[in-house]
Amino acid sequence: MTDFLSNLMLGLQTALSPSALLFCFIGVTVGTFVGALPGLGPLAAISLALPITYYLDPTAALIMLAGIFYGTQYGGAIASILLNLPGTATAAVTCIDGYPLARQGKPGLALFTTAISSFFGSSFAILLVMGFAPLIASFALAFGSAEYFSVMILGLVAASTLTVGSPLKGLAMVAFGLAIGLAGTDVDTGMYRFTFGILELSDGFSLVAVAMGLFGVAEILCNIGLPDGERLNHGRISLRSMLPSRKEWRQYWAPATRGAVVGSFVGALPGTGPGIASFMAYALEKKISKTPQRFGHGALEGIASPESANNASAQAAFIPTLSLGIPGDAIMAVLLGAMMIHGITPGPSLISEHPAMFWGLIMSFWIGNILLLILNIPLIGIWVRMLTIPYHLLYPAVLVFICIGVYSADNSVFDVYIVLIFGVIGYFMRRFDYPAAPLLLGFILGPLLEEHFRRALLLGRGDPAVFLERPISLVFVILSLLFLLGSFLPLIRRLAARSEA
Amino acid sequence: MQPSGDEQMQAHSPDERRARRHEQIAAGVVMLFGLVMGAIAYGYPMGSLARPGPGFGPLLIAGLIVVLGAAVMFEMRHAAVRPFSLPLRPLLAVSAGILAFALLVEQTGFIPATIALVLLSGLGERRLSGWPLLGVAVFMALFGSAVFIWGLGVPLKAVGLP
Repeated sequence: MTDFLSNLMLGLQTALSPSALLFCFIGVTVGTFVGALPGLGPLAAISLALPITYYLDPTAALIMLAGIFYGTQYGGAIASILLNLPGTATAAVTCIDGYPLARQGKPGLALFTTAISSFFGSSFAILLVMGFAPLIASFALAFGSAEYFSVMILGLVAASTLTVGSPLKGLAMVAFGLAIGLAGTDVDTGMYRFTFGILELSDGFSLVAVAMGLFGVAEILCNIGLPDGERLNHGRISLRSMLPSRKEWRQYWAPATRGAVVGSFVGALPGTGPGIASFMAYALEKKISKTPQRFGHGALEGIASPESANNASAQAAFIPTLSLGIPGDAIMAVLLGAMMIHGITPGPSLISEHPAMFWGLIMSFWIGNILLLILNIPLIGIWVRMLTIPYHLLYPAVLVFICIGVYSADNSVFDVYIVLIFGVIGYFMRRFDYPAAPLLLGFILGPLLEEHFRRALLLGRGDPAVFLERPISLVFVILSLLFLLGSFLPLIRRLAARSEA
Repeated sequence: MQPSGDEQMQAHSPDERRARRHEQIAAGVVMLFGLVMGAIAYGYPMGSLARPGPGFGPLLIAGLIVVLGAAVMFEMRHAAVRPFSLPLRPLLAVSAGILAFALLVEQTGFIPATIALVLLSGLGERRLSGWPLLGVAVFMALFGSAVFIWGLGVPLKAVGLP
């Protein structure tokens, strides 16, 4: 217990240092802004900021990147409510009840509800991270290569099968990502693989270029020409108009709590992110409601629960990332990439080897969330005005940030070409509903996966049963199979029905 | 992101057949990628199960891609599809902009490269607005120079001939 307290103090000290505070503030502000802008997601924002963090010390860098991530969860709701355009994919659910509420002349109430629900959900999940991450890490110290391989497979399978579209397309994209990750020098033998004689490829594809192409350029290509959202004339949103009445407060707590529980659970699973969490929370709320007909017409529960859930899951996603070094989704994978760039090996020993970093990051979550709560309310007016920048002027500016960001990561023009190539690939993928997040996850985990695969086989003397003989590894393998089975069940059933007919 | 019901088409309309054919082609491209990758990987040393070589993993993954591509192709014979459209204008404009940036940035400096990028990529939108776009170009060129070149010390010239 005293250990725990001294860790907390260490974390607070780190998080309250002037540079940490500054970068936390920058992170959450940028996050809110980017989250509020439709057509720019957290991944694009984090990849944009990645090159800038090369100039920071690793803890400040992580605090800032994490701040951008959970900041976007706050910001995403703003565009959903005011424009009926989800600022981020995770805030799509918030449109359903948030926009009707705004049309009824209560945009302030809707915005306040999202801010307070987001804070509530985050707080709940941060407590879980504080409790569980060190616990899981100490358990995972006993992991060998077989266990690592299996848990990564579980993460990749979960990430690709739990998407909205076809699980087969998700799996194909994971495999494609693994393939992209192979390019470069083979760690074991020093052999060049898939470099096609291009010197720049000997270190493999640049993470920043691949991520910005798939999530920045592709996103822009898809958004050009779309109509701007319907703009509401809200006038001034005063603080008074934002505060809920006593009756509304009472309506609020139970859904927010349920959302936090759903979100934390979903977020802590490897491979599932805030998007799924908010959809699940909304569905649950509608199912258990005595008056489901109010949903879609400005039900407060329909905002409180998913907003609480997506923030809870954003924070809970740090549990597998920080304790195992296994990212839950593509965003966490980019954060892990950032750690590796700074020479920190993510894994179960991270917490014991870099306690100041781990606890500093956790405590910065508290500070960041409090900042967000304070920021969001007075700044709503500014965000709303920002949203009126027309997209056809915004996207060329974003492209400049993408190009110079990619270039400065490695001072390499080659990477600018790569960002274009992956932008075009990502554009076609979107048109055909192939998800990009599993690709990025596969790309980042690929080299690690291959390393552990080889090492496990080496230790197992070439017997592939090594992945089934070790009990923990077996559990992960079985879970992966269950995920696969579960996602293909509808497909199999449909085929069976067809053959009977 | 989520397939919405109204975008699904009536069964066996010409549009649907066309969309299905496009889906098949896309899955075919995935398979082709796997095949080419497998062919290259086949040239790398395989090693043994006890000591997998640099070709082992790639061949495994290439095989997986081919199988999954084939499975998607099969699935798309019956799954719901949505009409496919490919507006070329944004694609061409953005590509031209990024290419121009890449070609110019080390040759003529950051400011000309940025102005070319903004003006070319701005052509992707039909609602053209010349003066505001030029304003964005100039602003981004100056702001970008300030932040990245003078602020962060990215080794680029703002303006410079080779």
